[in-house]
Amino acid sequence: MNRRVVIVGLMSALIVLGMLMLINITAPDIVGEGVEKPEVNVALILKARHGEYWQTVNMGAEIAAKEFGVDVDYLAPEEESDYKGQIEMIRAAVDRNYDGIVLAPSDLLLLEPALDYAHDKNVPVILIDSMVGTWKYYRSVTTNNYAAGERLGKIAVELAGEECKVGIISFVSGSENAIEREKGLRDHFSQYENVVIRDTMYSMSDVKLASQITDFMLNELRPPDVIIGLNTISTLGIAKEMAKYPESEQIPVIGFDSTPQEIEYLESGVIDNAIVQNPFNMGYIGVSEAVEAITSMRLIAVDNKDIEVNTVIINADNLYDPENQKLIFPFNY
Amino acid sequence: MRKWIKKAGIRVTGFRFILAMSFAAVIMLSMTFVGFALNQKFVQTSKENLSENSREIIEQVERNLDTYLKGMIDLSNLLVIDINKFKELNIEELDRDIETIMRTRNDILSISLFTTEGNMIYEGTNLKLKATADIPSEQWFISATQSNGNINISPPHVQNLYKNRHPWVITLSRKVNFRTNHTMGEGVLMIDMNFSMIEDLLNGVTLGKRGYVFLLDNENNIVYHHQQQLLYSGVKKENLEGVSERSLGSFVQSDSEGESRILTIYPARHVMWKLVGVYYLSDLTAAQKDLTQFIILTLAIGMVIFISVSFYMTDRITKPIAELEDSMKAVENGDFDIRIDVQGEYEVVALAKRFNLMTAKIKSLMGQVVDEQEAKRKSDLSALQAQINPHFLYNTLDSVIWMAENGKHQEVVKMVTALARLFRISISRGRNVITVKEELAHAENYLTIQQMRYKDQFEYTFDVDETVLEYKTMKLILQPIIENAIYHGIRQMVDLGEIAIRAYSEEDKLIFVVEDNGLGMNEDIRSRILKEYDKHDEKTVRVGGVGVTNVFERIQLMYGKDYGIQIESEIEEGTKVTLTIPVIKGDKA
Repeated sequence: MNRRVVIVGLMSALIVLGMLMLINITAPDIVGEGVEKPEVNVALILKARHGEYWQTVNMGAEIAAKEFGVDVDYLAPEEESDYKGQIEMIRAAVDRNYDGIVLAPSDLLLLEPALDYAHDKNVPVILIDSMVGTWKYYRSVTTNNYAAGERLGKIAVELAGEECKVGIISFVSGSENAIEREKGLRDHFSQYENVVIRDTMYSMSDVKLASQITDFMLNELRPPDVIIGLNTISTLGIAKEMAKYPESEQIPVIGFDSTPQEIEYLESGVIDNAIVQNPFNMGYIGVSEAVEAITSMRLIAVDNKDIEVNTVIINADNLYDPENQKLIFPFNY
Repeated sequence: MRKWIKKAGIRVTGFRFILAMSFAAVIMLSMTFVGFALNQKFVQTSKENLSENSREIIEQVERNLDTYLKGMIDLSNLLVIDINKFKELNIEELDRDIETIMRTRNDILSISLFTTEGNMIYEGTNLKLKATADIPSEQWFISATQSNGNINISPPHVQNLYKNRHPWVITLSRKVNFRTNHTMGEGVLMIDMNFSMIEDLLNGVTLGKRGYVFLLDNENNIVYHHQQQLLYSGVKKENLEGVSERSLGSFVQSDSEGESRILTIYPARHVMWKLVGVYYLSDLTAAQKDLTQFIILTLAIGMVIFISVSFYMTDRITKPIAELEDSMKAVENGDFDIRIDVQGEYEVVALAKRFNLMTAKIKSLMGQVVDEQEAKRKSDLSALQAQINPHFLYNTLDSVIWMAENGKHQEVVKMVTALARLFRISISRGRNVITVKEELAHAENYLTIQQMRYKDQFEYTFDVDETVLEYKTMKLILQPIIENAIYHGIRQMVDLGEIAIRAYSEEDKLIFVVEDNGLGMNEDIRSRILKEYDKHDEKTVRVGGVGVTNVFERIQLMYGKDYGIQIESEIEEGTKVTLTIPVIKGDKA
């Protein structure tokens, strides 16, 4: 009799097992969702806490977080140059068992130990905005800075002609973005024999310094025919200085990004063209790549390790085109 | 599986297993059928409800949107009346009115009044107009001046009129009349409404798990989409196929990645926009899978319960049968004393009763067989002893010696020859059955020897029917009878004794008769000789000699109760012994 009980029990167990398998076959995702529904946490570590650019990155990340059903926590040091703060944040995120990290690295080389740490602890890292000097990241989502440089160069030639002098104001000499942008510019100009490039000067991300450099350039023996700013600050500094001159004496200014102040200068024609990166898409793609890395349980992407986000050229004419409005004015302010 | 079940004590072909399984099968089939039917019905109903539901949700969104826009229109109407009431446009008074309105409504960003040339007459907020602002080229301004007093509501856009602020707004614009310097003038009233209100309204709507609502303007451009930026940059795509030609209704379509979804289109009043609701069919499938899972789970649990119950029930039914089987096994192993006392269904109880009767019968039959075998063995042994009766042998040999000493060679030869023949037949190569001829020869040889020993104290005659000579008979059945007749009948006689032997057949019976005219015997002895063989004891054997009783037993054991020995005897007159055995011809044993 005892044996029978065991048999009936075993058969019942078998039937239940079979049924469960059937459920798995017919509705695998439901079972998966119902049983675990793991909470996926992603740390979004940006370069700085403030600034429209980073807020837009965050907005894109939030849209992705909502779409993929993950939690995204937004972290950033106070200052953009605070790479130590970033290192601490990466380590803390790894220690707090975040499933993935989306990082906008503030330095090309100095973050390597922190990335090694994340890699050793099996936390995938997705780079956005800028690159690092190590291979220990899942995927990078950046602006193609070289291509952006090339596009600016093309516009410069259109505005100033094939015989011209070009002034370039970069921001920090070691920045990977700056190097790539300048390289793109210079490579484009190298096609033209009569384009003269003045030595690059650095604003050190200071508007005043950028203005002073512009002033200095404009008062040189042969002033440049076009001035190019390689980031927001440099572009603003150039525009500020240029606005002092009457419209007739202004030379073309082209630069990066679309802060409200830059938009004013664009509308008033001080800045002729600006190349706009797509921080929203970076944030969105960064988080969606993090989700992909977490679900595929990989630390390094199999293919397309480095992907690029498109840029848009804006000017006074296309500023309020429907397709640019959301890009340039992502907020309701 | 089968083997395994067998090992565990369940027979796949067993009554119990089959019963349990058929119960389970019936239950499972019916449950599955019901589950399947329910599931199908659910799917059908939910599909029917789906477009209805999303239409209702979108209607609700439209109502909210309408309420909002209608509020704006009412507000503009109020302002138009307000502006018209002045004999002369009084900015200060207008400002007071507008300030009151602005204080109560935070969704209005600005209220401004422009001349038809685009010059600002009044600005109701503290926002500064940009130096570069080009009013006459603004779309809302053009729409207002071109339409006669109609209300224009722009798609959501970034307002680019103000310094350092680029708010997302919907702009309401309309032509107004006002009086300045006692002349009627025309102007444009502009109200900027914060788009975030509408954005929140649309963003908060979810259809199913992943569905959403987006907004199209009259030219089927997307004016609001929760992933608008991704759409513009090409990361995501919205499939608008089939949307432009419809203004109301639902249809199935697939998104840019090929996933099926239901689009529900609903027009927005006051503006020429369309609200489009997106519902992913996979959300429905998910709900359906939820149900399927539930049904399967219920089925599984039900199965376990029902199989357990059916096993329990069949156990109850088949348990008495199993008990019966166990008892039968005991019988199989030789235990006939077992008695089954089975409780249960009528059929099983009846079966048990019959079984009990059967075992009892078998038991008695077995006992009988055992006894018979025993008796046969004993009588065979006696017969064997009779074949080589040592006394007879001594006496005969004594007679031979005596005759030889007296020089009666003729007689010696005769006696030894008879003796030899006697033994040859009695041994007869171990056969038990011989011909009647041989049996009679045996008797004759015996009689020859005895006649010589008893010096012609008796005479003997054979009266044999020729036809019986070749019949078969059991051997050594005449000699013991003859021996008896000589020893107990004739030896003590004074007169000459006579022994008559006859053999004949009557119907299918072969009959031997041995008749003597000796002393005869009394009834007591006669009856004791022929007592039932199974009750015979040492006494009867002594009285009747091994002979007659032994013959009687052997005949009955071999041929059955219909055959045997009959003795008729009278004191001083003689005895007649009749042996009856069946007629057996030829080689038949």
